[in-house]
Amino acid sequence: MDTIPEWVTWIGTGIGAMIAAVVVRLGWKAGGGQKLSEGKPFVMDAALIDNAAAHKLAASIEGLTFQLQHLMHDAEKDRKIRYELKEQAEQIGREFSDLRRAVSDLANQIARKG
Amino acid sequence: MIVGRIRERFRDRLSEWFCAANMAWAGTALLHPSDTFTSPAYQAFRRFGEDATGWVIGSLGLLWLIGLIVNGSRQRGTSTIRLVCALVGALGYGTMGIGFGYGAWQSGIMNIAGGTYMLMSALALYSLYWIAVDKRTNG
Repeated sequence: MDTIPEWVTWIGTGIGAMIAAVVVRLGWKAGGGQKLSEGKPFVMDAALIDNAAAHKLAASIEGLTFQLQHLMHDAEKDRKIRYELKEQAEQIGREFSDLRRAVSDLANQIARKG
Repeated sequence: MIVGRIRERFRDRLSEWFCAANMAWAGTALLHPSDTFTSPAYQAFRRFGEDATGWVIGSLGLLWLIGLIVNGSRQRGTSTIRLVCALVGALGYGTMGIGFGYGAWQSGIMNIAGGTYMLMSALALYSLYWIAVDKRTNG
């Protein structure tokens, strides 16, 4: 029995190399859809809510907004009242001053006649 | 940690482990002082030189095993090593299948080894395919 003829070896190796090249190409193409090495992992924080919860949230915010508006209105009224009270107090103060001056003048007249 | 990584990928790469271990063993057997190629069953391979064949196949088998062990931390380099080893393994097994088939044809006596080594070559091609997928995907 002889050893394998050289031409059999070469042809067999050539055919095997071609088959291997086709296999590598098929594998390379199959792996092309998922590149993981170039991407960086990222974290996404999110909350999923349904419609009903979103509506409730919107209604609560609207209610709070109305209350806030009422409070602001009341606060404005209080401010106006305080301002008027201050004005009236100043007016009363001025009138007291006038009254004191008038009483003082009257006292001086009485003293001069007496 | 290396053992953990090997374990989690072992099932996916079982064909590679088998081919690599088989090549390492084949190389070791050929490098044994007894002249394997003098056996009538191996007559077809005498042109290749037993020691040279043993060193080439054994070294590549060992390199493939190292590539499988190290793979996780050196993905790019070791995937190239695995690719080359699988390619040479497929050609080597195919050559051995042809050799045993040629011997059976010449002697008229059917042997088991011819078909077995062709199937081993197909297994190495299967490993080659998935190594190429892995290399394209992960680098």
